Amino acid sequence: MATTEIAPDAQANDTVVGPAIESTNLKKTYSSRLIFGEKFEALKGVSFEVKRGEVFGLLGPNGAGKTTFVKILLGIITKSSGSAKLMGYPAGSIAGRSHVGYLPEHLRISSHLTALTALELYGNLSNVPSETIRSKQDELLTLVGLKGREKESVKNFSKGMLQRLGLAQALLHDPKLLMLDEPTDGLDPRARAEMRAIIARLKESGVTIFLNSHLLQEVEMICDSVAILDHGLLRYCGDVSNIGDAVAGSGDSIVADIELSGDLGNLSSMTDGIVFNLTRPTTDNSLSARFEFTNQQQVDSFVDRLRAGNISIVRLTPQKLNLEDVFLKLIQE
Amino acid sequence: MRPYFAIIKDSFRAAWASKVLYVLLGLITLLLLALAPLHYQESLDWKLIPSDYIRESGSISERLFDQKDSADEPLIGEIWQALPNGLRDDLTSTFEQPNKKSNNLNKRNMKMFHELIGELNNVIEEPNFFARADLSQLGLDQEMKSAGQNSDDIESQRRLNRLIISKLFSPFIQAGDTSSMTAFYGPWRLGFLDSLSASKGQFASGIAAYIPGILDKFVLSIGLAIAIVVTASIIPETFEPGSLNLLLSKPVSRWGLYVAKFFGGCVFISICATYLFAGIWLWLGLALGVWENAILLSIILYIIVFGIYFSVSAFVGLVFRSTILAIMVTLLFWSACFLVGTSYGFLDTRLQNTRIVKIAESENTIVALDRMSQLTSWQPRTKQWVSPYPKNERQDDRRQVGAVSWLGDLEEFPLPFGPLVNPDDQRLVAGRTSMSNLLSFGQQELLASSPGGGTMQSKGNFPRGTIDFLQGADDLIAVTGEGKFFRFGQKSESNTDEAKAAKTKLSNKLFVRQGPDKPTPVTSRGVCAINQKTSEIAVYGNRIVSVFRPVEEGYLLDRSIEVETDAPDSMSCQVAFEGDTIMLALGNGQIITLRGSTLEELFGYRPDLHHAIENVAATQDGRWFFVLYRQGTARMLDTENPKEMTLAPFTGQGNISAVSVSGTGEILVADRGNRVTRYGAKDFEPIKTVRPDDGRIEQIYYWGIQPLYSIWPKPGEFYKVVAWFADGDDGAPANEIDLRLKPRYRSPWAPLTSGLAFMAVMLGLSCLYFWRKDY
Repeated sequence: MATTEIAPDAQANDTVVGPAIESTNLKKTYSSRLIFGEKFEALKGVSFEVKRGEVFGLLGPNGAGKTTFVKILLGIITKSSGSAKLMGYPAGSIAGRSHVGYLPEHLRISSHLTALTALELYGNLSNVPSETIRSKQDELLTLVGLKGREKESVKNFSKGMLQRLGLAQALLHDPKLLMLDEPTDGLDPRARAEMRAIIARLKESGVTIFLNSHLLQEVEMICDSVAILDHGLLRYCGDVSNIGDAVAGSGDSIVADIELSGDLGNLSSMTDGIVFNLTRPTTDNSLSARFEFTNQQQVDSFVDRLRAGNISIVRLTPQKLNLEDVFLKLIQE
Repeated sequence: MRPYFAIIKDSFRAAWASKVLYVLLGLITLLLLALAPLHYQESLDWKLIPSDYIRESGSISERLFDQKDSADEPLIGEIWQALPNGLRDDLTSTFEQPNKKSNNLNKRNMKMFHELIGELNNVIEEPNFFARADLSQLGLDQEMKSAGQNSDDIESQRRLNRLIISKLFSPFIQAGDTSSMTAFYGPWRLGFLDSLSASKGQFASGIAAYIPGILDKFVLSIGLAIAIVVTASIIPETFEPGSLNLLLSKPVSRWGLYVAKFFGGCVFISICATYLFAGIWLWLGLALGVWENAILLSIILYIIVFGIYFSVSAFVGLVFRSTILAIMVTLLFWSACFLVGTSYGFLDTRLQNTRIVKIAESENTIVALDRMSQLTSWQPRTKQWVSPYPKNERQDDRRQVGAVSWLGDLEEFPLPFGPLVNPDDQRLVAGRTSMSNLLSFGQQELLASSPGGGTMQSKGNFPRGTIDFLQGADDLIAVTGEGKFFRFGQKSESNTDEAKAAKTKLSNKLFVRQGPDKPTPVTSRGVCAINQKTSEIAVYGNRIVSVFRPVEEGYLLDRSIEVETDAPDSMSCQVAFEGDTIMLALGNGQIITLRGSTLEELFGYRPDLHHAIENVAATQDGRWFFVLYRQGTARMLDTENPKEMTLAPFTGQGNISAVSVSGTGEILVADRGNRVTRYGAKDFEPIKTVRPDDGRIEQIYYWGIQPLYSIWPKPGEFYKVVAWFADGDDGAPANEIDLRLKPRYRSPWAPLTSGLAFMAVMLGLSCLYFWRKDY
């Protein structure tokens, strides 16, 4: 539900330095019917902030509540309780939305439009005068790689071209916050690289970028911070760079890739209580696997037993958890 | 507002990108190209056409025969001399044996009439026929003077001759319109349209009245159906997630977005309607010289019509996001509108046709005449209005009803005379439109039955040219167009030998001539009235009121006066005359009261009602006068305090269909459901009410169809709004507009108001749904 109410503390302007997105105990419950329907909690009290100027990724498996969260911010659906703010304005307010450029997933643009007329339409919808749109369209079309195709009907555009056009329209009104929903979906590797470059350039210009993506590697490459949602709960929110440490936390858990050789017949009796996953096919006298130890003592004990059993440690490489590991770890818990 | 205008602008882009639009524009172009060569040429109208502006064929022949040797009418003598000998012999034999009647004679009369019209056309065609005549005695009007000044122009001279003939045979031959139009399609003359004999004004009003209806029923129905199909996908497509999420992320309000999308959806029909109506407007103006701006108004009205359908389509598209369902529900809605409108029209016509328009009270019951010319009397036992005639007479009643209902639009069937109650013997006397004889088809025959009906006592004809039939205190008086008065029946109290002899001699005559020697032509029913106390008759014509006094031999013109009114001479008028007051209710709404004895003006009044006056009536003491307006309200005037007219204290105001004063001086008022209430003459307290029980049709109408119809949108009736606009008076002063001649428009704004209200409700519901909905 759209609302035009403006919170007293939300007279946001360029000089206000507050979070770009602020969510406090945000909840959303869907009902299968208007009355007496089954209830389903899509968000179960989500609280986090997105700082201005950062690239933020929102991750989660299907049904985690990512889309619900984005829709609440944009006013496409209403929250059940809690609060959310967009650039200092209540989520869903017209004032808040005026600062946002949004590229939806599965973007559809009417087939009677060309790239130019689509830019004019969506620019006008963002309250940008047609003259301003005309003065910026070349630059934007060049940026997204559609220069030269601007007079073609969009019905001839590939999915990737539509995504680029969607990005161009999202940038027309110089938004403070760019919300991209699966922006590289349908793009070829080169185009993805270009998209990443564009995002990097926008970040440099101070635009806050909120990314909703399934591509964990891409998020890891682009984002400064991430939040991981699962079943409506926030599992993690923080920097991407130390996500492994952060998730591992203060515990003594140690992960290491170990290559062993020798008589491996008694190995199973030596791995009691140790989780390991083979990383290479095993032969009669060699093995490569990732071992997870609960603490250093377990490592020492395991090494002692290997030595006692005449098994040689060919290589031992300690491992840090990457985003994917953390993501999988968190959603499996 | 920029975002919302952007949506509407985008709708224009979408429309222009639609191939269907170009197909429709192509079809409209073909229609306009087909119409383009059709045009008219205007010429002076001089030819007499038997079916046009001529009535009472026998009266024309009779006047010609009667006046052929009259020194007062030398021009008629000249015409008589110009006739061929055979025709003169035929006329002579016809009028020297007036009582000889047979079907063969009727056929001969018809042949003779057509021959006479042909000879009159020969007279008119000869430019110099009346060249040496002294026309001043005819009373030249402006058109005659103007035509007479163009002595070199043959057409003008023929038009002058036609006007002279009209004067000589007034009111049976009317002057008609000055000009008539000849239709051409390119260079080819459309001879089959000549019989329409329309003047430019008639043609213009005809175009304005019929074009919207024709376009509505044919062109626009197809156009609307196509537009509904083409635009049904607009809302469902907008609400696909890929489009909608982007739109909703923009800084626009949801209701504004929906309303802009809705109006954007109307762009398609706007382009088509603008092209079609502007094209027709240009064609009418350039080819026919008729610049009818109501046609341009159709553009807006038909966009609203489409908007009504589209509001349904858009709502269904919004809720169910299905184009197919939107089309199906819209077509169902269309059918529902058609069904509601047709059911209402059918039942309303049926009930309106049976509404009482005249009431009279006989010795033992009330008799009434309905719009279908059906005479009925009240039966207290069965609580019904039933025919007062014996069974063998009712077949003719049914013929009359059938003819009026089926042919009423093609042939004018004036309401039958009466019903009146003969004071002498309380017989019920009424006219009935003759349907049994083709030669007298449409004329009125007289039926006199026993008090309250039941037994038929005599049948016959009214005097030739009867225009009105009046109820006096002692007599029933028929008034002819020439202004001659005829008394119905013989005086029973006259018992002298002389009276008996006269009664025997005239036993085969129903009417006895009562003078006057110098009649005043009576142009239409209602312009004369009889005073119940004095039996004086007042006649209004050409702004002159004449009062005729009864004397032993008949009636004599006693006094007359020219009333002060700014109404044209031809303005229609309703007259009531009771006590010492004459009320004139003119067609333009002006009401004038005169003192009956001196004819000095008492009171002038022009209520700001803009409704035609249907009828006037007065109490016998002449104190209270009642004016019945077309929209069903009755006002009254107290002649003792004639400051203003007030709403009469009758129940059923707004639905009153007849007001009359009974022989006992009480007031009879008919209103909805054919209820008749009798009110006291002094205090207007209701004395008695008779009302038939509602039948099944009445129940369905009053409790179902009528309430439903009043709130239901009426997209199929918007052409009536256009016709109503087109029927404007083009700036004519109010005093020159005869409201009685204007078509009867019941609630002309109703299609517009109910349509806009429905659209607003649907838009409101849609916005509410959209506002509350999570996507």
